[in-house]
Amino acid sequence: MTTEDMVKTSARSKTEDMLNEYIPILILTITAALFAAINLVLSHLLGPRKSSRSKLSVYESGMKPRGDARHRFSIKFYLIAMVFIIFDIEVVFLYPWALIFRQYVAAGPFILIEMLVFIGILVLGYIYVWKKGGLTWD
Amino acid sequence: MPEIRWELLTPILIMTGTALLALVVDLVVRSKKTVAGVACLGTLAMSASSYLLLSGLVEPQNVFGEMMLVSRYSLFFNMIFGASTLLVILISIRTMERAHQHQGEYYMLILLATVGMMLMASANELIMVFLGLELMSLCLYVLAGFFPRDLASNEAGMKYLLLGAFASGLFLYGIALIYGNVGSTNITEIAPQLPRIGESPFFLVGVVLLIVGFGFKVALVPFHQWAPDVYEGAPTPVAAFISAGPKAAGFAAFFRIFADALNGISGEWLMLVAILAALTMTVGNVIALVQSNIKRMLAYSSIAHAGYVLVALTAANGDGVSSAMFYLFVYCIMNIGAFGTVILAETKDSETVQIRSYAGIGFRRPLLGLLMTLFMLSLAGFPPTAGFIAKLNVFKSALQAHPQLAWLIVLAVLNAVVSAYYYLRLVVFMYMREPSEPLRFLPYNSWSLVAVLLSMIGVLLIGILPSFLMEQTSVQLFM
Repeated sequence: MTTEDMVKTSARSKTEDMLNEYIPILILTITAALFAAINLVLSHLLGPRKSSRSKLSVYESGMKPRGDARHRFSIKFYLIAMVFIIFDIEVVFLYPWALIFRQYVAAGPFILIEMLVFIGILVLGYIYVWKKGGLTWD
Repeated sequence: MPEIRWELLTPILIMTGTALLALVVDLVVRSKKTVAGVACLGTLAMSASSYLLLSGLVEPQNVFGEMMLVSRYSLFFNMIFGASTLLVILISIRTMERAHQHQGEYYMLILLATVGMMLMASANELIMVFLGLELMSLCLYVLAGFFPRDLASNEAGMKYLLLGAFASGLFLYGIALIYGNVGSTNITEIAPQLPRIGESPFFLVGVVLLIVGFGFKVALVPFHQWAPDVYEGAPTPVAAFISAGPKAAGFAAFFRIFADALNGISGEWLMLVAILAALTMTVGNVIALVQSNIKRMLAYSSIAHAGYVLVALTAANGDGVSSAMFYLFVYCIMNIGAFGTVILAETKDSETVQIRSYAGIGFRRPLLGLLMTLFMLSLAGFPPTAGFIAKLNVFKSALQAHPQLAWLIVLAVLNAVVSAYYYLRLVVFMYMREPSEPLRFLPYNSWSLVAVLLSMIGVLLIGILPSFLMEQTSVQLFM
């Protein structure tokens, strides 16, 4: 066996190792699928079915249902929701930063300035949304 | 904490700052021309700082850990992006003034897309390439569909988004497979591991997926279908933008990964790239022959040009990379010039997009005819324009590196001959046909005219005195 062959064999076994690591996940996937399928089939086969008028009626927290479920929302809901999600996700970045802050701030104010720049860009976005009327309803 | 060498990052910082500044300026000023002015100045400052760094830099430098590599290569690409963004902003001013909405956002999106391109060209990590690609693409999707009341623009935006997102997914999957084999996403760490993993099927599938991803972004045949529809539907300045900078950025990362990191297994991908190049040139040029809409014709022509650039990749050495950099610079300038001339030719009612409505323009609007003729000659590759030198360099470098690929060069030269037909057909229409109805042109828009004249000067100057640009593009393999 030449060195080159050995290198190739080790490459192949390395790839196989990599795939072997995923076998538990494969087993778990199969188990989960079987669990769901078996339960559905069993309840379908074993469960009693007696339908009555009140059982088939629409259930709305015990109240009498009013109107249609499919009515139209103002598009502004989506705008607000989108703006909320964007800023919400950005704020999540503060957490990992807060965790390592103490450790790095000793080396200099760089970490603080970095976050100020980040917040500054966010504030710019906020001002933009505000000025363009993204937060007004009418 | 790793030391960050801020001075190497000035071009990217300037560009990002300008994008944010444009957003703020848009909120406080009434005249939207100010926003365009800020964008132009920022782009100029970025190009200048790139040039200053380029003339001082010898060795490539790692920045941000090893996330980015600032080199002569990346800095030269910054200048390509700077030139094309500047020209596009100038030719956009009139169109955006007429559109009357979201002008500030328009310039900000163009600037942010440019930041994405710069990140792609200087990336030293596959993840960084992907981030740059997405930053660029997301801006471009919005820009392509920028006129919401125009159905064609809507279609362009939607098509570009769906196909682009799909291509990004394939690209990311390719990165994942490569990561699985190399154990790192760092581009410089791929090459030393090639003897171990070079023949692993997973790795090769990853490499092919990268080719597919880049193929979509730079519109190689058979991944080109989006290009004509997007170019036709998108606002003309946006079409000019998409055809220039993003293509150069895609090729920047493509060359960086293939000609550098994967050079060791070039035997595995060389033939594939050669076939893609042959297909791209031939299909692009042949379909361009039968187009009646000038924007579609330019779209197919830009597909064909991507094929010529790909020929340079088959060389896979320093000469090939230099010739591709030269080609992309020239291509960006002349293509934006051609689109800018289309904008200059607009009439009172609409843009002039049908090739037959160019009949008679040559003598009635001499300057317009002359400019268009010049850009067409350059795109076709006639001396003494820059297009000729660019093609010559690419073919020469590819032939010297791989004499067995001579068939590809022969095909490329034949393609250049075929392309002359449709480029010159426009010239024939302009000078030798009579218009069917009286021409009602608007007076020239001064900003677009400035941009087009700048491109013309560039095309002629590089065509006659190419040595200055050649010095800038000369890179040792990588850089």
